[in-house]
Amino acid sequence: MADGVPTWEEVARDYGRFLYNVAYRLAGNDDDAQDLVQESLIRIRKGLERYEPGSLEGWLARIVTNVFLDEVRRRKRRPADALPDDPERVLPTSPAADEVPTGLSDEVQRALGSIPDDFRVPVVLCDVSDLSYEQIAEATGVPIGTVRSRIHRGRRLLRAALVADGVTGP
Amino acid sequence: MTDTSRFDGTLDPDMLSAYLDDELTDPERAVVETQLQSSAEWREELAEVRAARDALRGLPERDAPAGFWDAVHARVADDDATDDDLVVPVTGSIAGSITGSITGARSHPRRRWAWVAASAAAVAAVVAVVVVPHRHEVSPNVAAVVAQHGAQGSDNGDPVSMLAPVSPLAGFRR
Repeated sequence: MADGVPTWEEVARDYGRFLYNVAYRLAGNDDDAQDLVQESLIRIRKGLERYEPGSLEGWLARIVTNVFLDEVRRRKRRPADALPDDPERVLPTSPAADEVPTGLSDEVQRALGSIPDDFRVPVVLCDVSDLSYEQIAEATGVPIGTVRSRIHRGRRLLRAALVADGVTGP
Repeated sequence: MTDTSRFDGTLDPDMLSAYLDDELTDPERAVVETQLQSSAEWREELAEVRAARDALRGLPERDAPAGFWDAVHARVADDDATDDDLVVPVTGSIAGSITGSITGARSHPRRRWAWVAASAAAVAAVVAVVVVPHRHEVSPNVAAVVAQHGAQGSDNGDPVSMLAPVSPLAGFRR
């Protein structure tokens, strides 16, 4: 790492798992998470020249979030891209068939997938990526007051979805 | 932490999540704590968002499938190499025909166009090697040679002489 700017290899090695977890919680399945991470790493490789040392995790989370939102917008413009037999893929509500059930985490992921993007993204950035509200505002391009509101509403939606799914514990 | 200068004392339930996340200013926190002491509704809502927050924060870390990182290193390196040479926008029917996984819809077109370019180059090479030489004039004309041969051979009645020219043919040089 020179002048606080990591190499691409260092980002992939040291923050790959971080990127994958954010991507997985946003996308809701491994296939899309892998694609998100791959595209994010391509953008990171190109963007490192312009990276100014600061919150690297915030910068990385912003990139993976932008990749996710770009894809959501692209699929909304081209509904045919969503597989006919898998209409929920953009906003997944169930784990992929080949995923190994992991108990309660599946229920939580399913509930998370039922929340609209505007609320899911800040909640994931807060509770999975552990970013501050200020970092989330930078990553999503919305005012910090909006971030606060969306995180709160997102958590309430998540809680309601969990209760509806029979998950009443914390 | 949220900007303190904008707090006007107005209570907003949105502050409850910020309270949990330690994103309130001291004046805001004080107001929220006072409200929590007096309002069962606020306490109930705080418990709800705390449960949702804990559920998310308690999720296990997700590992990528085995072999994913090796594959992504190769793909990123591949994209880095091809991107400099070939940038083709994905539009119209080409983009519409692409379905499937997320970057499959983005990176595969690049590879498809790389294939198209490579195929075009290969076709051009074949044309250059196979077709272009045929454009050289063939002299003499084969049909004319055969006809001339046959006519000369039949003149002397010797069937063997029909197998070889009896005189230099037009267009041949010695």
